[in-house]
Amino acid sequence: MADNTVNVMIKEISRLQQKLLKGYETMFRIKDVESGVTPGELVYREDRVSLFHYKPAGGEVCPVPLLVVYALVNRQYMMDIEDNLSLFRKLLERGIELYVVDWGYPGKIDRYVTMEDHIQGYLNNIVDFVRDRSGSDKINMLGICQGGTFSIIYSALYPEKIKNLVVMVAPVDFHAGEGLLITWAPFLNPELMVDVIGNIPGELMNLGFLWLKPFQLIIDKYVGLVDRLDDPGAVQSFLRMEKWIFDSPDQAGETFRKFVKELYQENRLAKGEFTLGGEKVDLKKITMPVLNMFGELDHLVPPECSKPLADLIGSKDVTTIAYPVGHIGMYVSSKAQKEMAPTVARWLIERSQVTKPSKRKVAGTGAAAVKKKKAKK
Amino acid sequence: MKEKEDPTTGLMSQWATMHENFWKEWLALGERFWANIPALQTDKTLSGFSPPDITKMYFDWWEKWGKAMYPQALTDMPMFKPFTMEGMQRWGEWPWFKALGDLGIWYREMLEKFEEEARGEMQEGLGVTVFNRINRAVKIYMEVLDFWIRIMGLLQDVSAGKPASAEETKKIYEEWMKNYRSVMESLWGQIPSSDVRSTMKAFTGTSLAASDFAWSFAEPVISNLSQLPGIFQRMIKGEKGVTAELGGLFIKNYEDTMGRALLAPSLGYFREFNERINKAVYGYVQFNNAKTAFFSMLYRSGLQAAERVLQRFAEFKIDELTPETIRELYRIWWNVNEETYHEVFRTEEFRDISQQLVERGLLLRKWCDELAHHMLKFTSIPSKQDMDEIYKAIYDLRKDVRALRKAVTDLRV
Repeated sequence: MADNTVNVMIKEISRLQQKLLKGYETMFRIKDVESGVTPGELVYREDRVSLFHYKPAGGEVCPVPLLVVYALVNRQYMMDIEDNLSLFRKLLERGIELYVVDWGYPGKIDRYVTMEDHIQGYLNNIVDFVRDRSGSDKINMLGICQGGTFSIIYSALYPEKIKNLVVMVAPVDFHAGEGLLITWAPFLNPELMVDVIGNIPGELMNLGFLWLKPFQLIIDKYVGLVDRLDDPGAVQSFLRMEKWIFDSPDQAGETFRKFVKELYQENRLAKGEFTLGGEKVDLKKITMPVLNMFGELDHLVPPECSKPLADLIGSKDVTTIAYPVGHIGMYVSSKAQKEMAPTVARWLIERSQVTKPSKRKVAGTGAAAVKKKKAKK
Repeated sequence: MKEKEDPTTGLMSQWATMHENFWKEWLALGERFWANIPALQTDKTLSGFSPPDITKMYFDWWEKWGKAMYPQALTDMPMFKPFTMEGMQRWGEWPWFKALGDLGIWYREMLEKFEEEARGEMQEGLGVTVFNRINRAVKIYMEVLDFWIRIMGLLQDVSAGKPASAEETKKIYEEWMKNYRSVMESLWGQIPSSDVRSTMKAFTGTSLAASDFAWSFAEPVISNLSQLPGIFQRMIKGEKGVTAELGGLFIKNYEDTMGRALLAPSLGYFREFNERINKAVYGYVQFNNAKTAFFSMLYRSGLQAAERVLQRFAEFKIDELTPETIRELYRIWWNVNEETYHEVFRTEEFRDISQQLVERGLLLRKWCDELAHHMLKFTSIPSKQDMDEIYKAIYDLRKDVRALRKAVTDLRV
């Protein structure tokens, strides 16, 4: 056995060498990879916040556009990371017109920008812009992760502007489940953090996320790649993911303070005690149809944090779908890719036939035809 | 009678083959680089790139490897024992085995060469950045392999299902823990020595007193504040003699400036300034204490994980070691560690200690900012506090402009 051990060890080391050499040759040439593969048009800009428009590419066109609101923590191009891994492209092919918010990178000058500024300011202005541009009194909204929480809050404050709400991996009950972020949050001192640092660096946030699974995310992920280093396609895909993971904008200080203190630590949204700009956020005012999707294996936003949405809101038409994937798997796993876009497109088209074409007039017909259901998995 | 086969022959030929293959790869890689030079020159994304001196790199590590390994290995070769059970019990002592174990060291050196070259020759880019991350992970993987090689001989009896004696078990355990520590160092960095910890504690006491006299003692060191981070870094790395250096610096500066240090606070004018420095030093010491506690906990948890991994390895029956079994052992290693750390991350102790670390770090920065603000008051350079005030003013102005613009729009409508 000992002789064999020596042989095997030498072979293993030799194998690593060969693969790394190949990888060295492949990777040193790559200065950057494309981020966001679907061409969009910049249609609106306010400070650092931009809005991109994507025209539908076929199928039955949904008369109501969909506004995609991503988290502040990472960048929205995860939904459009590769040709064959693009939720945007799949939605466009199914007739969904997209508007996508790009929150940009907060600079030091943004440290006093609050959650109110983000939701009641930037987001509300964007919604009004899309309503004007599309001629729809109400628009559809898709909120993802932290952007999902923002969308829920927005829909509770401005229900008259939202036709249908779709949320993905969105935390609403921050004290449910046993996620590490939830365990750690009470021990953070957001007051001191923001007072001292100002904007919270993206690197710091990323470090926290890596520490949720340090051995997998810092070691095994890369060791596992060594075997595929001679496959340029696999390397490109890996680099795209790496770029996205480490492309973390800083968090505007005051927004971080309120988000951590009042949501993570005090769970005010689920308790019905959350206020924004002096206005109470009453989730019962969310009466539009809601599609709630989450990952059963999500370690960042455990399913228990997303699931209670159906019980907290006033809508009678709630569809809840759990996918057997993790947080990132929601965007890139083959199962989610195969099922999610058709599901979202179908769900939206079924519920978007009433607003168009009247501009700035609420169309009252057809509403009764919308099937009322409150489904939970 | 058949001549007894030299057990080293197989190994030598394997080494030779491996090096030959490796050498060919390097040459081929070099040729490809050179062949592509016209393309490299015309390709704007690669402008400024020059291929690393592969031949030199190869000979550099070959020389290091040769110097480190071969003299001893060659000297001991006649005594090299055949692979018998008796020999296996002493496996860890064999020069060749030691040499093989040191493959990890050689390999890490090679990877460091890669990184060095990448840093020196390549332009910044995503590919190079990610490749360096891969290198770091592979280094840890190599640590684990290296560790496994070293421990394998000790585990023979256990893995064969034979109960080990109490003495053997103790030896295995001790060896395991000792080696695991080096893996931990690759992961988390070196823990500060007890010497450093006691110095920190003493220093904290000095700062805590915060009386004029205590302060006058600390102030001279602060006058050489720029040297302190370097000294502390070296202390944390466990470098011997640095504590004495710190003490020397402390005393020298104290003597050089004692009069001023004693007199300045009593003048009153410098009191605020001194208090701020005092706070910053206190914060620095407190932060380092918190850091020590934090990394101690990580190490302790690593050793807990080591015990679990040992148990799992002992249960892992190997009839024949194959590349698959190596990877399975590695998989067990990282999974058990992940589970262990996950449990630790949930404990109240972890939350308390990490909370301390973050808060101490923040307070240090806060007090340093306050100190800087006080010092910059005498210059025209804005401090962080000044800039924050400007940001706030701009933020408020933007809000006013937005409100006015909205009012104008509403009036027009």
